[in-house]
Amino acid sequence: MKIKRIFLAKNAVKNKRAREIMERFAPAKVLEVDDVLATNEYLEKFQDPWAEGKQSLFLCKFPGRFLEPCPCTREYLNCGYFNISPVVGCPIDCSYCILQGYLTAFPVQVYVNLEDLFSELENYQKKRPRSRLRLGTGELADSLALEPELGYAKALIEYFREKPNFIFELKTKADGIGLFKELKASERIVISWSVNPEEAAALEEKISADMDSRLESAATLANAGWPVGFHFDPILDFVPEEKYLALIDKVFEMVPSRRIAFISLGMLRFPPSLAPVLKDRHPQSRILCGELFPGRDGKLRYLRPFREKLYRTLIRRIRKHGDRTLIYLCMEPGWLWEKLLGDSPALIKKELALPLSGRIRFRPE
Amino acid sequence: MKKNPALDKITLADLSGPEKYRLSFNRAIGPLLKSIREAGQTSPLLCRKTGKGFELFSGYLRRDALRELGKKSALALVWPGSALSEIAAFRVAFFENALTRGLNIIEQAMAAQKLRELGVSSREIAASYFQKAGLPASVAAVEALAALNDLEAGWKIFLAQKQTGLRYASRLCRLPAPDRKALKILLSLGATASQFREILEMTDAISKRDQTGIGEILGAPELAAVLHDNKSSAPEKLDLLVKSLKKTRHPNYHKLYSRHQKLLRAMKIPGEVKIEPSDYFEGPEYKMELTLGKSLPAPEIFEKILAASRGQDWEKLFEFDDED
Repeated sequence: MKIKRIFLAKNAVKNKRAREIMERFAPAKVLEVDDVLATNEYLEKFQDPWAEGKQSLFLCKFPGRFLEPCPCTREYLNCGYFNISPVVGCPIDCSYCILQGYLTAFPVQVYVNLEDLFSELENYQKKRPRSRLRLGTGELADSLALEPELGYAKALIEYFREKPNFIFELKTKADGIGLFKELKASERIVISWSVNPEEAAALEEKISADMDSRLESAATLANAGWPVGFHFDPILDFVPEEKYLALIDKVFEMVPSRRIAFISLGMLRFPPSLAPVLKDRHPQSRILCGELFPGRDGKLRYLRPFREKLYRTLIRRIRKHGDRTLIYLCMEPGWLWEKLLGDSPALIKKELALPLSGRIRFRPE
Repeated sequence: MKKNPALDKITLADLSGPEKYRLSFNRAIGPLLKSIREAGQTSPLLCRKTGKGFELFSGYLRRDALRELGKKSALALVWPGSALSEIAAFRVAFFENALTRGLNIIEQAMAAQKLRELGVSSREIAASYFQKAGLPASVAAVEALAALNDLEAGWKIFLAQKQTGLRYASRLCRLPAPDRKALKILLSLGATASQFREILEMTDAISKRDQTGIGEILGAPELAAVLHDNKSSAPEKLDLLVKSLKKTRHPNYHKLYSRHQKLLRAMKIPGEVKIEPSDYFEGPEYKMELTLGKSLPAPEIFEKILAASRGQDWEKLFEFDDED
């Protein structure tokens, strides 16, 4: 990814990692700033500050907590995920991305005090030695979009490789997997791709890798022994159902099912506050043409009977390919999980936090 | 040369009023006429003295009112032209108007356009003018405002009168001309601001979804029948239009709701009982509301609900088959 400028926070000027990151990205401009407000002030001068922000990094030290349970959304079932966010913001420009309405800073914020993240994880483990966690860096950022220059994916893989109680997920829409060439596969590190039929990805996921490249990357890593995952998310109503079914077929054609750690399904949902941003920044998007109604969390969603029907169809097709592939739903009510998936949400969540070899119900052949 | 302005009495016939400075649009002159008639001219006109005479740059409405009242002269604050450049004069006019009476959206558009014509960049307009006047102050907003100048006069009047925000004004402006023309029916029907927003929102989305023009949407038989029904008043037509558009915009919801009502009829649910989906069918449950009164046959009503709940259709309320 091309980075035009790096904002360097005063508290990170002497940081070795910050200097290395700057050297590797070699941006045209480095600006020393007091804080993130100064970066916003700078970027606000541009016609589309978000677009400029996506080509800018803000390097600073993060004083807060890195590890947080995924907030999911109120009134719907969470999947037991935890977020770690050493990077907040994303260079990929998806029309539906809630970060546009959620984040208050335009540039991609990179926290250079990774050692604090590791010590936080160590403390967590010490306090809860028996707890198993599934966590990842892909909630507020794309885990691979800034790699290999950033170097965080490799550092995190090396860290989690040695931690038997964690399943670490790198979630992406990119296709750069060069960094994995020099790494040995680990069953506790899952690389997952957000997928959508190409026509949707081309229209709604600007600057991301095309779908074939994503699937080829997934196949390459799966064949090299890495567990991979797929997020069919957000599923969009203007894409014909057949295209999703064909995409499922393609995933199973290209990727050996025994390496598929999970498939998640999630239909479009977003807070109403995103709509004006979406309209202004992505006038070509078809997202807002959908039949969207407020759900119980206040987010706009497709009608539940429609979601239910489509989920059922997609689940049937996935099960046809791999009866023991773990499927879960993202931001849907628990009763719908049970109705559509047949297994208890507790069992699904439990096995999600296990490596493929440690699972009982969801261990694909 | 004297640089400060001087208060002077000038002959209106000697005063030119170039449009390049004008910042009033669709302003009612009546109150000003009344005020001048009762109290005389209480604020001077602002003008520059150039080789060609007096050039008005702020106070157009006052000038018009004085003329209409048959006044031959007016009080004016006069700057020597050499002491106040055109851009400086416009700056005075802008802040005088924006910070005292305020600018409606079309006046903001005029200001953005005129400043651009005077060579001021969008960024500078945002930072040095709009932000200080409490107006939309981003580059994108300035450019969106400037684009409103190309709108047809009828729309400009509507947007100014209804105090439409930039977001919807700008969306209207971005529509292809034939779509905007089709929506002009709203002007003749006297749509309110909220009806305008709702109809614009729905027609825009339907148009994008169905890859069709707004003219074709409004020309569809059901909608055309509403719009050309001579028996309905304009407010009734607007209400019906909104209702019909909602059906077109949300066909699946209407299909589900019709199915729901059909099921209730088939189950012979009595009129005293309302069974409604909760949160647009989001949950797997329904809300039931029962109206009871002394004269109502409560046991019969309960019996009918019980009978319905034992029938085959009851289950269908909770299950949506693939063909639904």
